[in-house]
Amino acid sequence: MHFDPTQLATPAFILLVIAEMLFIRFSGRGRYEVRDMATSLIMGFGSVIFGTAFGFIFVWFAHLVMPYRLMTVAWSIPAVAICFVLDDLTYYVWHRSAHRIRWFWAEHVTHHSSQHYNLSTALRQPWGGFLTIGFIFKTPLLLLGFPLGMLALVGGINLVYQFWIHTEVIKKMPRWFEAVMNTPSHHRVHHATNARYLDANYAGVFIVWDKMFGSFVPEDENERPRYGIVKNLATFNPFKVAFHEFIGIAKDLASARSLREVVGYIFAPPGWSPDGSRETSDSIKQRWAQFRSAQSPAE
Amino acid sequence: MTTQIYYLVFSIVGVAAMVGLCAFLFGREVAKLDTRTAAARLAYDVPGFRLGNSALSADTRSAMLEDARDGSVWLVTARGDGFVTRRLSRRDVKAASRDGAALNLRFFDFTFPAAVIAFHDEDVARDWQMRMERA
Repeated sequence: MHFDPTQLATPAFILLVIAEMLFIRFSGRGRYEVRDMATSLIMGFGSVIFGTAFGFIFVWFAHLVMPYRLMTVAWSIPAVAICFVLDDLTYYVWHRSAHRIRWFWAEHVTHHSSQHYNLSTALRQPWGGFLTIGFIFKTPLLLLGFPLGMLALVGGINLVYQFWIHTEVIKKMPRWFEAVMNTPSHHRVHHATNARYLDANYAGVFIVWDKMFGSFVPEDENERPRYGIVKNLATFNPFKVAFHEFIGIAKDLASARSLREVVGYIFAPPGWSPDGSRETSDSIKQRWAQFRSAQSPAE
Repeated sequence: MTTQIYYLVFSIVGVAAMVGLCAFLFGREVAKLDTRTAAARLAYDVPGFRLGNSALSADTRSAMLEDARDGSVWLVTARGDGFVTRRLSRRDVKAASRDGAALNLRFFDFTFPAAVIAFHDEDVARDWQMRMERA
């Protein structure tokens, strides 16, 4: 059985992007920019090509791990439901790592590189997954005995869910929904570079993971998110967008003078440098907190 | 294989059509700067930034600003309908030269294309070249 939720959802993605563009054009609630959108769509298209070309690496890895599984989970609706929830938890762990470990950030930065936040941003997907091998985060699910097809199915549904939350058009969902599910409001915070919003809301589908693991930050109506990355790219070139951080790592490694520096440049948080002269999200937040307390010492 | 080629062609046509529609609906907006906008943008990127001297390029698409706290020099420049900021220190600027009223900048950051910041006045360009060298 071959059932690819992402492929099936593609016509809906296209129609929704068109609908959002028309809505924004006539309501002014949001922004679209031609070159930014073109880059996002090309990144999405390219990620399908790269995924098809290198998908065999995950399949090969899965077949290496699966002989050591604890049991074999048979296809059933409850099994798919449990797999979906656990897969979302592994997504949370991967996503948090992708913001805290430069090696995984090198791939994921692509998705954050737009200064816009609209449905086309959801399609701005990385090309370098085959380099970072982020799929190792699925290992626990393979060891629990979930079949590869089931992982592909729930992973696809997870990705499709995350499409609609990339919008400024929807302000808030009903309170019960905001409490449990990832929503446009929660995900706007995740894409924001405001110091107070950095490194928050890593959830894929269920925002409860962030609440459980202390990474949840609600959207503040008084502080509008500014999107992009700490050092925004000055290019729309898709190849530079896809691989700039990998090249940055390579350049840093070429100048490394010790094993500590090598390890730091690869595995420390993005922005780490041996002399601390570059900005990490932690240092930005710290500086922002200092600046804020200096401005209002009574607080 | 034939299906995959159709899928590929359909995708390329689809992407082109959507970009065309976006251009039709939104045009090709280019952001413009004034000193206040540039300083506000830097205040976002550099918490605590305090505006010292500043100079706007003749096309109002770039501005050079000094942080009054430490004398560091910053560039704010338009990219599409948004802005990108960079510190202009020796660590960041690979080469800087002046050609009349224009400053030519090349960066170590390979994602940042070489920039020509043309001012109205040659003295302004000279002044900012000197500030960059000191920063």
